[in-house]
Formats: sequence, structure tokens, C-alpha cells
Amino acid sequence: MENPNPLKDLKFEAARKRCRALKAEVKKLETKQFASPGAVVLQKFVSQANEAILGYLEAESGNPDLSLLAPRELELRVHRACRFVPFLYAQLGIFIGAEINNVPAEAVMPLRRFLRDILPGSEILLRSSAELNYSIVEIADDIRRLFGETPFADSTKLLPKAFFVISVPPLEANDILLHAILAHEAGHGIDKQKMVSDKIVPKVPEKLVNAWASRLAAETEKEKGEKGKTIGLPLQEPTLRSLITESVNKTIRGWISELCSDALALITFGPAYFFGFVNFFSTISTLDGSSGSHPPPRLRIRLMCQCMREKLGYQDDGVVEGFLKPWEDIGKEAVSPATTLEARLALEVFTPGVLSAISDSSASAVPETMRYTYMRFVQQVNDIVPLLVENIPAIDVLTTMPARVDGPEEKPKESSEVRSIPYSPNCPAIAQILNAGWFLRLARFDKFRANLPKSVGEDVRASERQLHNLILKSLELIEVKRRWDEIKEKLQERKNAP
Amino acid sequence: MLLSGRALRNLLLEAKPGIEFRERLIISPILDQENQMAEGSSSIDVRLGQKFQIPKRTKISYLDHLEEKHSEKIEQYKDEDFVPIGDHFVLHPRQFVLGETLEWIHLPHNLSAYVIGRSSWGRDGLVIATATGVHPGYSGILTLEISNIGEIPVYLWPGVTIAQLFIHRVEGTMEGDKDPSGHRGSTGPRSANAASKDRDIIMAFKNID
Repeated sequence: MENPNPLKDLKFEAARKRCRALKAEVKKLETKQFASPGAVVLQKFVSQANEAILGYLEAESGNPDLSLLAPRELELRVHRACRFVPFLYAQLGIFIGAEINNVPAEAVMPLRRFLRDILPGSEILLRSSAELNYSIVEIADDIRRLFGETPFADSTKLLPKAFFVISVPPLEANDILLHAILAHEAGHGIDKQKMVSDKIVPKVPEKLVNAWASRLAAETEKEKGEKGKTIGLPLQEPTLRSLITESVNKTIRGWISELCSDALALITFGPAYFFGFVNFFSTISTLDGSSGSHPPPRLRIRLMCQCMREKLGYQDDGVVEGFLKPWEDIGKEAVSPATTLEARLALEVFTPGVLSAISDSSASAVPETMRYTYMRFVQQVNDIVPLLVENIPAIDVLTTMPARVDGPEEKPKESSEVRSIPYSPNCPAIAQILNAGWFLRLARFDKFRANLPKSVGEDVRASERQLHNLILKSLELIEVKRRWDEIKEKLQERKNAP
Repeated sequence: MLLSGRALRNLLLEAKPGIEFRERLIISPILDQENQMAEGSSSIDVRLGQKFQIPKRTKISYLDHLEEKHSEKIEQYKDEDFVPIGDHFVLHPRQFVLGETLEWIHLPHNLSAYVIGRSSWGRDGLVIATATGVHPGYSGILTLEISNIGEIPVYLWPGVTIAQLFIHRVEGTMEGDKDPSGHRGSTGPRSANAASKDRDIIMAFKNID
């Protein structure tokens, strides 16, 4: 007769009970309306994985061979299956804040289109989370790694190549222009796929890195000398030095990854990313504040200004210059001696040469047709801003304008053509609209306000709100039109198929 | 004077160089020209948009357009919902919601418009009463007041043609080139205060000899 094993039975029963509860929770999600198509994908994955685990647990709990195992082996075997249940349950937390009325629903599909243009086969889930930050986490890779080599690995086939969970702060919900920051998160995706930052690490001068580590070690030694008497720091100099070098190298790697993502965001999304960045980060953190993972905003501003000038051809004319110049000066300023040693050292290590290498590698990771050059910016601003100024969303409006070539050079032809606005099949609509929106906000806002009903135009905040609404409406209508045309074409193809 | 279908098509589909956007008739996006601007018709069909405002049961005991806090109350009285094309909203018998046209409508200073629900919906008990007149110089989506006076629920699918727009040429010259109403620039269904301009004088009627 089989020996009763209370721990095994308890574990199996509890895990099965949790699986059934999870099933009920997933069922509840089906009655909700989410803004992102990714929600359905994730829901299906959780549901299918849960079913697979439940089936496995049912089978395992009656498996007579288990009684042959030693108690410790048995516990581990049972635990290996049961530990997936809390993991799946935790995935339900992703759905919080992802309901259609919690996020700017109009922006979801254009954002998804932008990401899929850059990273084909990816999927997104946009949610609002109660923190003042924008973030993006790719979850598919981790899930695949966790489930690989398990009896439930099949359920991961439902997941796309990359699944980005994007969190936006609800406090910024009324300022869609700031959402250009999400381009940085797309930059991380490109960096990961094209391994841009890996190419930069060897280019950081070793001498400077060692100097950084030495100075930090010296500082710590000094501190040790001062405090040693009372708290007694346990580490000896060589150990301390090696730990600090390791930490500096880790910081450099992290910062390079962030800087590459900034450059990639700028190259694919245009100055809207830069405007979003300075408007968000310069207001929530200090210019020289840094962490082990994120470089000081001053360094990021320095890189972006340099990249705009050197790689994208932004010139000293027009209104962008008026806005760029002060930030360029801020980026070039020497760091205050009052700031942290780390921030001061960082700016020494990331020389103009390293920053140029970051811009170069990032630019070569993006096809020329997708680069948001100055020419492209000027053209799109000229196309879209006149409509927005008249309080009309940038939608499918016919116009007669000099014909354009939508390529890297994009020089206007001499002839005229009738075309619709916005027009730039190689450039994502969300980038076109947000760049035009930023230009209007920075350079044509007074004109825009003068065209609004008096009660709105006289109030700055109400005018900003109207611009936000107009941009969302543009994104919504462009997406509807594109999707309509795509589906119509597919239906026609299907009809014509033999 | 009502514009014929041909005149409408000419105004909408011919881009004339040198004319500023504010002087043009814009109805966009027109997803299916052939069906929305059918040959022989003197109107253009407009589609149901993706945003709705749904009245809800609240602690608010009444609505009074003469009350100063009317706009605040309205905000508490209605929920907003976004229903993407491909999904539907269920309108129950005797339920009332505000919807919107999918199209953005921009009228130059010499044109005005009337919006009327399509009769095929009306025959199922769906009343699409709008504030039917649209002033010259208006620019925005149109708010649709939709109610189901039938006996069974009706599915509202964003993207379907729900109303028709008749465009008229205005005789004489307008003062200014913009619609004087506060609705200009509407990007979603919107409630409004109907009597704020008359508030002071009407309230004073009782008290001043």
C-alpha cells in the first residue's frame, strides 16, 4: 500500500485549488474591455498555461511512481510544477490599469504600429500605473525561459516574438505629447535586437574607467579612514578596489544602454522624443542626478543635441533652433562641483568621441528610410501644423503641394501634386503627429489659441487640453483610415483569389 | 440652397491650390466614397464614432441649466466609453447615450449643415436626434443624441453609417468666419449648458420690481 505523503498531497491540492481560482479570475477578465490587442494574447497564454498546469497536477497527483522518490526529491518535483501557479497569478497584475478607459485608447494602435514597424512580430499592452514614470518591460523572453524544458512549454507558443508591457503615468494622461518618451523604450528593443550598446563598451577609454574606479576607491578609503574607528569597514583595499571596478563597469554598461536607447529614439522618432524627454525628466529629477542604471539627464541631453546636429542634420535655422540652443548649452555646461563624484566622473568618461560612437552605431542600426531627419521634420511640420493651427486634426485632407519623395533625402520636386495629409508612408503616423504637435506647442501656440473659442483660447491649460485632444483625434482617425484601407485590400485579395 | 451631390463631391474631393484650410469644406475621413456619397444623393452619410457618453445613476438629484455648477454636475452624471471599431455598444430599450460622428466636419463661413438620422435605423426604434443645425465656421465632430425607443436592445457598431449630412450654402455674408457656439473644436461627444447666457436675467425676474 502506498505510503501517505501529507506534504505532497497538500501541495498538489493547494496548487490545483489555486489553478481553479486563477481560471475564475481569467474568466472575469473576459468581460472587460482592454485598449491593447496584447491583452487578449496574454489572457490566452495565462489561460492555456493554467490549463496545462492543472492537467499536469491532476496526472501527477495520481502517479504511483512518486511514492518511490525520497521525501526531498518528491518535494522538489512537486514544487517544480506548483511554482508556476503564483507566477501566472502575478501576470494578472499586468491587466490592472490596462482597461480601455484607463489609457489614451486612441494612441494604442498607432504606438503598436510604430513598434511593429521597428520590431516586427512584437505586441504591446499599454497600462497606466501609479508611479510618475514611463516604463517598458519585455516579458515574452523571460516567460519562454521559465517555461522552456517544462511540460507546459507549448503554451508559450501563443506569445509573440516580443511582448512589451508599457506603463504610463496617469498624472500625465492629459499630455499626449509627453508620450513621445515611449520611443526610448522602443529604442531598448532595437538595442537588444541589434546589439548596439555591445559595440560601444570597448570604445570607452579604459584609462578613464580605471581613473574613475581609482578615485571612487580613494574616496571610499578616505571615508573608511574617517569612519573606520567607529564602524570598522570590513574590506581590504584590493578587494574594495575590485568591487568598485566591477560596479563601475556595470554602471557604464547600464548607462551605455540608456544612451543608445536615447539615440535610437531620436533617430526613429525625431525631436518629439527630445522635447518629451526634457519636459519630463528635467521636471522630475535633477540634471546631474544619476543611478547605477541611468546616466544623469545632462549627459543624455548632451548626447541628443550632438546626435541631432551630427547625424540627423538639424540646422541653425527655424524655431527648433530657438528651443534646442538653451538645452545644448545646458548639456555642455560643466557639472557643478557640488554634485556627486559619480556624476562628475561620468561626464569625463563619456567623451565627445564616445558620444559620437553611440550616435554612429545607433544610426547604422536603423534603415535610412526610417531615420527622422531634419528634412523630414521640416516637411511634416509644414504639412501638418497649418491644419492643427486651424483646430483641425491632421487627417486625410487633400491638398496641392510640391510633390515629395518619401526617402532619406526627401527633397521637394519642382512639380505639384494632389495628395493627402499626412503623407509619409515610411514614417509612422504617431511620430509625424507628435513632432508636429510639439512644434505647434513650442512655436505656434499663440496662433493656435487665437483660433479657439474665446473661453478656451484665453485659458492656457484649456488650450493645452484642446491640443492634446486634437492630437489624439488625429491619431485615432489616421489609424481608422489605415486599418480600413488595409482590411478592404485584404478582403479584395481574398475575393480575387481563385 | 441645398448642395447637390455633385457640388458636394467637387468641394470635398478637388484640392484647389491656394485656398486656406479655413475656407474649405472638410469632411474626413471618408472611408468609402462610393457608398457615403452615392450618385444622385444630395447628402453625405456619416459614420458612428468610437466615443460615447453614458448617463449614470448618481447622487445628483436634478439637472438645472440655470445653475452655475451645471457643467460640474454634468461631468459627474456621465461616464465616458471608448468602443473601438470591430466592437459594439449595446443600447437597451429607453436608454439614452451621446455618440459622435467618426468624421471631422469643418464648414467654411459660407456653408451650413443639417444632420439627420438615417431612416433605416429609425425604423428599428433608434432615434438619432442631433442639434441638427451646424453653423458656418464649425469645426469638430458632431455629437449625436441616440436613444432606443424600441422594445429590444440594439447593437451600435462604431464605423457604421448612422446619419446623413445635408449641406446648404448661406446667403449673405457672415460676421466673422467662425461658428459662435462653444462647440467648435469638439473632439468627442459633449454636453453643453443651454441657458448660461440668460441665467442672470431669468433669475432676477422674481426679485426685481
